[in-house]
Amino acid sequence: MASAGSGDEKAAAAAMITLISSDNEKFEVTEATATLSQTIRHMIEDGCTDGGVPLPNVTSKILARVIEYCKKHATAAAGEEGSSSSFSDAAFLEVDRAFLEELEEFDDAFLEVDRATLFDLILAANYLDIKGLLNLTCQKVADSVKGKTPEQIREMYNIVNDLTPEEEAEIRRETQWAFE
Amino acid sequence: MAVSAAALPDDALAGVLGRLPPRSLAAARLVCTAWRALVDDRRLLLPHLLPHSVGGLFVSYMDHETPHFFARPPPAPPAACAGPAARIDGGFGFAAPDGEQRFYWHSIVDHCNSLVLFSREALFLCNPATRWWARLPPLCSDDGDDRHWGRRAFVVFDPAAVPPHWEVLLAPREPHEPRPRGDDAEGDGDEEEEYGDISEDDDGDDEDEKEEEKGEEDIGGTWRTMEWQQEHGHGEISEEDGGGAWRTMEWQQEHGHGEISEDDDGDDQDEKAEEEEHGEISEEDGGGGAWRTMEWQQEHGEIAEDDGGTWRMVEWPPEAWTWHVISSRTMRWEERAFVREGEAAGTVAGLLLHSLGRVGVYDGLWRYSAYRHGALYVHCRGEFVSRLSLSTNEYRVIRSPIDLAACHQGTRSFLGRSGNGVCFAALDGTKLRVWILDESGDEMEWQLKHHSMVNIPDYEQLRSYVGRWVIDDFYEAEGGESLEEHNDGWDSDDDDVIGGIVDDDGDDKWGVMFLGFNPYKEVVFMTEHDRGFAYHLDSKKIQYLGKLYTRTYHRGLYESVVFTPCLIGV
Repeated sequence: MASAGSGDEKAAAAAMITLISSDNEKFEVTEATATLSQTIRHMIEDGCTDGGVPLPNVTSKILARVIEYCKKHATAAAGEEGSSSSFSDAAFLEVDRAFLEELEEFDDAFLEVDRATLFDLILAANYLDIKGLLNLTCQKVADSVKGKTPEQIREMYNIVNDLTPEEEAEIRRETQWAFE
Repeated sequence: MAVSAAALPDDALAGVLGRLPPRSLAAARLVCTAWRALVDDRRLLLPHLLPHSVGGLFVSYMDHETPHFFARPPPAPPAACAGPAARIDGGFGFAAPDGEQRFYWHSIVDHCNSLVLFSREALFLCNPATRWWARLPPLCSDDGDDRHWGRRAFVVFDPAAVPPHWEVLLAPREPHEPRPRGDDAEGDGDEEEEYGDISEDDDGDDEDEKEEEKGEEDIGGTWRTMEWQQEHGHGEISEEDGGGAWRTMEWQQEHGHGEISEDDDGDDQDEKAEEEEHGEISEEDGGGGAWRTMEWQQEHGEIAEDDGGTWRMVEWPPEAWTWHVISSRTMRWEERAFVREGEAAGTVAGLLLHSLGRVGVYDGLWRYSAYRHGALYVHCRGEFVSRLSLSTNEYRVIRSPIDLAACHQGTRSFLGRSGNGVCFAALDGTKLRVWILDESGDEMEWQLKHHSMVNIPDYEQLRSYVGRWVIDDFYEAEGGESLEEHNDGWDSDDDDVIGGIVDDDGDDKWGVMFLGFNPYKEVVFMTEHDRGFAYHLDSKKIQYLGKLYTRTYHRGLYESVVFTPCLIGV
C-alpha cells in the first residue's frame, strides 16, 4: 500500500522491544506490535524499555498468545491506515473487507481456548491495557453468561452461592421485571 | 476443568458483566454476594434502567374520569432485552390501596423520569413502568384540612442518585383577586370547569368552599366563554363596548359571590380598564379587601388590615418564596423557602393581569415544568419561568421569550425539555417557535432554535397512513394480538413520515395543540383534533402517530404528559 502509513510502519519495524515473561522467557517484538498495549506504549514514551520490559504478571504461555494477537492486529491497523487515504478506491475497499473478514476469523479461532486460558488472557489484557483483546475476551465470557440462570452461572464458573434466601428474595424484588 | 470466576479481579469481572444485557445483569446479581456488590458498586445496571426514551403519552380527556396511555402497543411476549415488560396502565389500576376498587376520578399532576404524580382523594406517586406506588401523606393545616388542594404540584426524580431520590414540591397559592360575595347568579354549568380543578393551580379554593362551589363554577364557565369568544375574534363581543359590558357583569357576579379562583380573573385584555375596575372594587368593597388581606397575611404575614390596594404593588414572586416539599428522605411535608437571586418577575398587579389557565376550552392547564441538572423549571403565570435550584434553595426568574401581550393575543406557551436543554415553545395558530435556554453565561438567555408553520396534514393526506400508536383501551380490547407485529420499538423515527413539509401560510388550524417535548430528541408532540403527531424540529418532518381518542370517548383532549419509563424502584 503506497502511502505514508507504510513508511511509518517501516520506521516502527526498525525499533524492536524485548518483553520478558514471569518465567523469564524473552520475546522480541516490533514497537508497532508492542504499542497495542497502552502500558508498554507509556513505558516506551518514558524511555524505560532498555534492557527489556519485565512482565511479572504474564506467563510465557499467555504472553505468546497475547503477542500473536498483537502482531495480527498491528498489521491490521497498519493496513487500515494505509488504505484510509484512498477510501473511494473500490479495489482497496475490497482488500479491506477481505482483511476484516480474515481478522474476524482469526479472533474466533484465537478464542477457542479453555476457560482458564481465557481468564488468563483477560488478566493479561487488563494488565497490559490492550483494549481490543480485553473487549474480545470479556465479550466471550459475557456471551457464556448471557441468558443463563443464576444457578447455571454458578455451576459453570464454580461459584458458591453465599446469598441468604432473604437477600435473594430482595434482589428478585428489586428487579422484578428481569425475572418475569 | 473447574475454573473459578473468583480468579478474575474486579476490574476484569466488571469488564465482563458490563457487557451483559440488563436482564442477564439482573440475573448476575443473584449469583453471589461479590457479583451483586460489583454490579451495584459500579452501577452497571444503572444505564439500562435510566429513562432514555419516550414510552408514550398519558392523555387526559375533558370530562373523562381516567387518563389513558397513548403509545405503540408493546410486543406481546416479554422482550428478550429489558424494557418495561408490562404494558403501561394509564388508569393506574395497580395503585389502589388494598381492597379498594379503581377510583372513578383521578388526574395526572406532573411527571418526571417515570414517576407520575397524580391526584385523587390525595396525592399519589407511582412509577407505571415498575408499578411502584405510594400515597403521600396529607399536608395538614392546623384545622386538619389537606392543604394541597388547589396548588400546583411538581415531582422531581433522580433515578441515578443513591438511593434514588424524589421530591414533590407544592407551590404556594398565588395572590388573587378579592373574592366576590353573596349573589346567586345562574350560569349554565361548564362541566369541564367543574371537574377539572383537582390539584391544579386554578379553582383551588373551591375545595375550601365546597358549599359555594357549584354556582361559582357556573359563573366561571359563562364569562370564560365570553372571554374566549372575544380573544378568538369570533364572538359578537367587541373589545370596546361588549367587552366592557360583560366585564362589568362578570365583576358584579364575582363581587357578590363566592371566591374567585386564582386564574379565573381572566380579564386581561385591557390593562387600564382592568386597573380601574379592580381599584374601584377594592375601594368600595371592604369585605373583599379584608378577605384578601387575611389570605395574604396567612401566607406572608405582612400586609396591613386596611391596606386597600398597596398589596398589588408588592413584588412577585417574593424574595423568600415558601413552598412545601416532601421527599423520599423525609417522607413528611416541610416548608422550604427559596431565596431569590436577581429580580422579581414583577408585581402582584402584573401577575393578576395574566389570565392563567385555558386560553381556549381545548387547552390543558398550565402545569408545564422541566427538571434538569438538579433544578426545577416552572412555567409561571405572568409569563416567566422560575428556576428553582433544589440544592441551594435559591431561585431566579427567567423572562419568557414571549410577553403577556402575545399571550393575550392567543399565543400559547409551553415549557419542557428537549435533547439539548430546557425549551420554551410558543404556538400561535400553526406557527411554532421553539427556544432553548442558554445557561452557559451568567445571564440565561432564550435562543430561538426553530420557527416554522407546522403544516398538519389533513385527513385526505393521511388516508394511506396507519397510525402505529393507539390509546391503551384499543389494545386491551383486542388483546394486543393484531398489533404484535409492530414490536420493533416505540421510538421509531421512521414510521409514517409524511412527506417533506412545506412552510405555507398555515391556514386556519386552530385545533393544533401542543402535547409536549421529547426530552431526548429535538421532537415535539402535537395534536390536531383526534390525531397525534410527532414533529421533528430539525427536519420539519411530521410523523403521524395515531388517533388519540379512546374507543368510547370522543369529546376532547384535555392535556397530556410525555412519559419516559425507567425501571428503577424507589
